[in-house]
Amino acid sequence: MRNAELLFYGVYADLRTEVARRLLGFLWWIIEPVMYVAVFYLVFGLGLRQGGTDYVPFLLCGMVPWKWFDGSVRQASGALVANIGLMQQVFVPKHLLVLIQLITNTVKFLVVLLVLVAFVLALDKRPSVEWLGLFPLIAVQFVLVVSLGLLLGAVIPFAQDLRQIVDNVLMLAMFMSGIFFNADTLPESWQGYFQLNPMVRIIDGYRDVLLHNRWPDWDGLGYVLLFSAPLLGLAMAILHRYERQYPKLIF
Amino acid sequence: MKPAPRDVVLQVSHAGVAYRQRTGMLRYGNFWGLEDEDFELYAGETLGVIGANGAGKSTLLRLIAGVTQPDRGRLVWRRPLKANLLTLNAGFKPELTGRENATLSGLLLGMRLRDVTRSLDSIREFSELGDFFERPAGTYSTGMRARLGFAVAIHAESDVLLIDEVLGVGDASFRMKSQRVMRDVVRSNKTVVLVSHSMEAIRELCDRVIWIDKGRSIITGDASYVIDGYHVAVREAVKLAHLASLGGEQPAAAAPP
Repeated sequence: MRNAELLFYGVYADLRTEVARRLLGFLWWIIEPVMYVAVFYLVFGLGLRQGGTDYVPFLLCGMVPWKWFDGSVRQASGALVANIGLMQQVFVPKHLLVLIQLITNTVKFLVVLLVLVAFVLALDKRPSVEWLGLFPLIAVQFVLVVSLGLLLGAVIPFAQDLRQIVDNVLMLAMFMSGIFFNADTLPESWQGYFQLNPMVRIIDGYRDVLLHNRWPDWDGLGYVLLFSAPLLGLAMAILHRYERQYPKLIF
Repeated sequence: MKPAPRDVVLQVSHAGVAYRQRTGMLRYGNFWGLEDEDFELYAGETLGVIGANGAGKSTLLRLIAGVTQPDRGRLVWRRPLKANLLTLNAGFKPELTGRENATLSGLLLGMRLRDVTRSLDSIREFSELGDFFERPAGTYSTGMRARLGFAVAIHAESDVLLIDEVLGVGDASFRMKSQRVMRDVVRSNKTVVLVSHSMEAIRELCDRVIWIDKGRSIITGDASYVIDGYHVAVREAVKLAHLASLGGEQPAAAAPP
C-alpha cells in the first residue's frame, strides 16, 4: 500500500516538476506533439508527397507508439543511476524508481495519442466500434514497455557503458519496426523474422484500428505478451536480488 | 556504575561491507569499507560512533538503515523496526513546493500518505518556513532546505534514528531548537545512533560509544571511557606524525619541553 502511494505521488511529482520547469507549463504536452505532427505533415504530406496521400497518418501511427517505447526504455535505463543520491539515503524498492519514470512517460504518451486521434479524425477517418481495440493495444504495449524498461533499468547500473549500446540498438530497431514502410512490402522470406519484433505487431495494431477500422490482430498481441513475460520475470528477479547492492554500484 | 540489562534490538556480528572498485578494463576489485563490525544496539539507548574520516562511520549507518546489506557477517534485528537516516533532503526537487517536497520525502521515509498529510501543518510550523512552505524549494537557502528536511525527518517517526553530524543545521535560533529537539529525542525511549566528530556532543548525548578504525570496531563501551581513550590515541598519533616529520633532519633532537 505504501508502495502504491509512493508510486502515485512520485509520478505526480515528476509531472509537476516538468510543468513547473517550463514557461508554458502543461501546454507543452499538447504543443509538442502538435508540432511533431506538423513537421511530418509538412515534410511528407506537402513537401515530398511520397507514398501517397495516406503516408502521413501511416507514418504517425508508427512514430507515436514508437516514441513512447523509445523514450520509456531510454529513461528507464537511467532511472537508478539518476536516483543514486536518494538510494544512498533511504531504502526505496528499486522497481518503483524505474516504474515512476515509465508511468510518467505513459501519461505523456496518452496526451500525444489524443492529438494523433484528433489528427486522424481531421483526415476524414470515421471512428467505429473497432476503435475500442485501442485499449487492449495500449495495455499490451504498456506491458512490453514496462518489461523491457525494468530489465534495462536493472542491468545498466552494473555496466553503464551498455547505455551507448542501447542507444544504437534502439536506433536500429526504429528502422526495423515498420514505421517508415509497410511490412508487407518486404520479401516473403524476411517476413517471418520481421514479425519477431514485438513493436512491428504493436504498430500494425494501431494502423489496423485507426486507419482501417479493423480490430488489432489478437495473435500478434498475444505474442507480445509472451515476449514480455520472461523479460519481466527476469527483471524483477534481478532487481530483487540486488536490491541493496545498487546503492554501492553507482558512484 | 552498571547499566541495567536491556533488550538487544540489533545484533551486528562480524559484518563487513565491500565496495566495487574498478581496477582496469573489465576488472573490478573489492574494497572493504567496513571490515569487521561487531556490537549490539540496545533498545532506547543512544550509541555514539566516533573515528577518523574514512573509518566507515557513514557506511555503518547505511548498513543499519537497510540501504545496503552486509557482504559478510550478519545483521539480526530482534524486532521489526524502522531505522531511518535523519537525512536533510531525501529526494527534494527544486521545482516542487516545500509542501510537496515534504510529502514526497515523508513517503520515502516510510510514512503513509494520510499520516504525512496530517503532519504537514506541524512540519510547516516546525521548519519555520512560513510563506516559503508554499514556494518552490529551489528558492530556498541551504539552511532553509536543511530545516525542511529536519522537520520531515523528525515527523517520520522512525523507531531507530540514525544521525550523521547534523546538529548544526540552520541559523542560530533554529540550531538551538533542533538541538533541543534532538536532546528530547535522545532522552526519550527512541533508539539513536549518532555519528559525530564533536566529542562534546557525543559525551553529552550518548550512553555508549563505539570507536571505529579502518572499518573495524575497536572498542565499544561507556561514553567517557571510549572518548578519553580516543583523545589519548589522537594525541599519540599527532605526536608520532610530528616526530616522523622532524625525524629526517634532526633525530632524537625533538625533545619535549
